[in-house]
Amino acid sequence: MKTETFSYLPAFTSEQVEKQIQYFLNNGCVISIEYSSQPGPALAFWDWWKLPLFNMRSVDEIMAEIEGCKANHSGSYIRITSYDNTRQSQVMSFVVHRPEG
Amino acid sequence: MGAVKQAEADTGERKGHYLNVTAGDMEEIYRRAELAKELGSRIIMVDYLVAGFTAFASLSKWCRANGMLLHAHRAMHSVMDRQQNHGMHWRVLAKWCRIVGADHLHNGTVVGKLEGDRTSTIGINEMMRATVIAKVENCPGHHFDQPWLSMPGMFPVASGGIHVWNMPELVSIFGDDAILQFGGGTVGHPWGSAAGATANRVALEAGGCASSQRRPQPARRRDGHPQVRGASQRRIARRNGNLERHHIRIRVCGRTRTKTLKVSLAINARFKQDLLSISRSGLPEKTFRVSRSDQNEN
Repeated sequence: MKTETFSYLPAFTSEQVEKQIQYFLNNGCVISIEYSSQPGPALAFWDWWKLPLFNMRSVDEIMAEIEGCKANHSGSYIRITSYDNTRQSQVMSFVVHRPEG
Repeated sequence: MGAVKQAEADTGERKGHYLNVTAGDMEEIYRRAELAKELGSRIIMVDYLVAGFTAFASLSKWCRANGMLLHAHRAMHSVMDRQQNHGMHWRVLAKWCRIVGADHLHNGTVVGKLEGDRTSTIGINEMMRATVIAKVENCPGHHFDQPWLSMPGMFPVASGGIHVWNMPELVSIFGDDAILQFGGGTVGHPWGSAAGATANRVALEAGGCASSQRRPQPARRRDGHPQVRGASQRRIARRNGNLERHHIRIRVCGRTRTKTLKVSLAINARFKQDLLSISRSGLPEKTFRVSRSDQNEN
């Protein structure tokens, strides 16, 4: 299903995901990982994978968390979101994992 | 609204349609806004300058109270801001809009058909959404620091005469938090609206991906993407022959006098044939007849 930003492009390689996460961090955002087995227009809130990663400022740590979420929820859509604490809102998000098929 | 729901079901994404609530009086504006809310719309639109200063402020309050988004269209702005020596600058009208409160506000597009040069458009984009406006650096046209603190920003909207070829330029002018609206740029696609929408979306995401992942983007010109431009020029050259420099006689015929000019122009073979076919002198020649009314205009 096409949902969220970048869904009309070929699936990101892990290198591209890393660059995108670095861009979020460069903009001073807090990243969080969310998953949902049935995303849709009516569903604003996905389930959290742990709490938002307030203290994580390195791409490697965050990639490891994404892998951890994939291992536990491979049948779900997984997205990363970024929260900007000065604007007090979620500013960017995209889907990093889609279920097979 | 049925179509909005259908599109949401088909794509799994949230879609919207701005119902324009602008009307002749405030009671009718409220009535239309309530109707849009009843229909299940998340957003309404208003021509905020046409509605007027007070009416827009009231509608802005109504939207906050009712949890609706407000899309402000700037129809009639050029009546106030186009004249150089009188009126209000667009920057002032846009700033007032942010202070009163809206969610989207139309701005110039630079590459489309709307008013506004590149520098001032970028400056006003930033003024709509930045937390701190720092003199000229991030915000051309502003000459002192302006902290907006926690006052909410607006999304600048680019709309009007833009299409998929403009996308690299639009992404670089408008940045991350902006709304790009393609009307004719969607339905004008030769394969239909759905293909147009997909083309725009792919181009937007490719542009966003390139700018956030810092890939160098191709050099851009005002008149479109260089590859596309080159392709269209090659197509024209195939049809009409390559450009070559020729001396051309131009006869300008007035009511009482005729003047002949000799100019050197790059024209293609087909145009040269056209000129020769109507020439009386055997040289490539073009005659212009100038009437009195034309002279007065000049």
